[in-house]
Amino acid sequence: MTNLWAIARKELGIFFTTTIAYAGFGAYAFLMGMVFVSQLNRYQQATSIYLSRQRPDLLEQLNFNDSILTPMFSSGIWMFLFFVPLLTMRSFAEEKSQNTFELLMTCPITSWQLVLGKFVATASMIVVMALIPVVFPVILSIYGTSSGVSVEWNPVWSALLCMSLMGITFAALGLLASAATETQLLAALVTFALLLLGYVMPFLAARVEGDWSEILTYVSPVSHVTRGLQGRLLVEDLVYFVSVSAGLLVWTQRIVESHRWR
Amino acid sequence: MIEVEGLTKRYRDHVAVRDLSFRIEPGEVVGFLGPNGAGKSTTMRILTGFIPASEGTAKVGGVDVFDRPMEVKRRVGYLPELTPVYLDMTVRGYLRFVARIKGIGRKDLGREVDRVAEAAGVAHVLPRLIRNVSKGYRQRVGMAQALLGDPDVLILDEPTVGLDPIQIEQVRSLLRSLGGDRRRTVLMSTHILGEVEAVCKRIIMIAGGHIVADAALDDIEAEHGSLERAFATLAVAARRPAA
Repeated sequence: MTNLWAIARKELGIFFTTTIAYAGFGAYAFLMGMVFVSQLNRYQQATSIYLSRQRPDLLEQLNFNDSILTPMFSSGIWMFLFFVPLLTMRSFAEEKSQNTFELLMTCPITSWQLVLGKFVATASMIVVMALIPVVFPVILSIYGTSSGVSVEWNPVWSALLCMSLMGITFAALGLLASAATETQLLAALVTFALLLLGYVMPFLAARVEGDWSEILTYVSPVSHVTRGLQGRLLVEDLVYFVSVSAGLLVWTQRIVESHRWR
Repeated sequence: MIEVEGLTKRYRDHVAVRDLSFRIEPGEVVGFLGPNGAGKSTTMRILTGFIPASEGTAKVGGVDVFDRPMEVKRRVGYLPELTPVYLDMTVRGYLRFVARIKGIGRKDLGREVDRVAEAAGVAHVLPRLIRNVSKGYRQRVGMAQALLGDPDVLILDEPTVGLDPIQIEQVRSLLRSLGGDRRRTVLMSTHILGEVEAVCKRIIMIAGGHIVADAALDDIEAEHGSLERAFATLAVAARRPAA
C-alpha cells in the first residue's frame, strides 16, 4: 500500500507542478461555463416566449434539470473525449521516454502497485474534473429561485456520479494506451481514437439491425452514461463501468509486467 | 556479492551477451569495461532484474535474480546508463519518492535523503526542479538515488558520464570510499580507462558479448604494458567472434 500511495503521490505532484492540471481544469471549467450560459439563455428565451403566448402549461414543464443541467452534462461527456487523453497520455509513455521506467522496474515495487498507483492519481484528477460543473446547479439554486423553480438535486448527483464513473473508466483506457505505446502523442491519439469509436457506436447502432444494434449500443459508454445524466441510476450501468475499468486495468498490468519478460 | 553463471541474452537473431560467468566478492570495486555495444548495459540490466536472461543464472547477495527479484531489488542500488530522473520534480521530491518506493520508512526518510544528497554532492540543489539543474547535477542526483537505503550491492552504468573534471574527481572519491566498505560490492561500467585505473583494483572486460579478460588491474597492466593497449588488443580481437 505504501508503494501504491508513493506512486500516486508522485503522479499528483507532477500534475500540479506542470501546467497539465491547471490547463485541463481551467479549459474544462471555461467550456462548461460557456455551455451553461448558452443553455441559460435558451431557457430564458423559452420562458419569455411561453409567457408572451400565455401558455402556462408549457411554462410549467420548464425546469432547471431538463432544460439546463442535463443538456449541459451531455455536452460535458463530449469534452471528456479531448480532456481525458490530455490527462492520461503521460502516465507510462513519459516514464519510458525519460528512462524512469527502468528505475521503477528495478525498485522493489510490483506492477500492480505501479499501475494502481497511477490509476488512483489519474482517476482522481478526472473525477475532480467531472465534479467541476457542480458549481452550475449551485449558482442556479442560489440565484434562480425567484421564479419559483428550483434545482432538483438527486438527478444532479446521479449525473455527477455517472460522469465520474465514466471518467474513471476512461482513465483506465488512457493508462492502457499509454502503457502500450512509446510516446505521449501516440498514447493521446490512441486514447482519443478509441474513445471516439465508443462515442459514435450509438450512431452506428441506429443504422444496423438486430443483435448488432444491441451489441453496439451496449458496448458504447455513452449509452450507459445517458440514463445517469437524466437521473436514472441503473445497477447495470454501474456494473458496466466498474467491470470495464477492472478489465482495462488487468490488461495494463499485463503489459507492464510483460516488460520484465521480454 | 554478485555471481553470474553462463549468462546469455538473445534478442531474436542477435546475441547481446554470450555465456558470461564471473563472481564479485564483497569489498571489491570492479570495473566493467568494453567498447560501446559490448553488452555491458545488457548485463547490468539483467543483474538488476530489468530484463530477463535467455539462459544462465545470476545471483546477487546469494539470491537468484529470476526466482526472487523483489529481494534482489531491495539489496541493489542501480544507476542506469541514462539517468532516470523526473524533470518536473524537485531534487528533494525525487529522492524522497525513490526512498519511499525502496521501502525506507517515514521516520528515516528525511535523514536518508540528506545523507545521500551530501554524499553525491547535490545537497545544495535539493529544493530545485531537476529540469533547472545542469546535466552534471542530474547525473549525481541519479547517483544519490542509487545510494538510498545504503545497499550492499551497487551497479553503476557509466557513473561519470556528463560530469566536468572536478565533478568526476568527486564521484571517483565517493566510489573509492564506497569500495572501502568491506561488505559492499560495486560493479561499475565505463569506457573511460582512466576511471578504472583511478577507482578499481579488478576489471572484467567484455567485447562482442564475451568476457575477454577478468583479472586484477595490476596483472593486466603487467601483461599488456598498459590498460589502453590491453583494451585495444583484447577488444579488437573479440570484435568478430567466430560463431
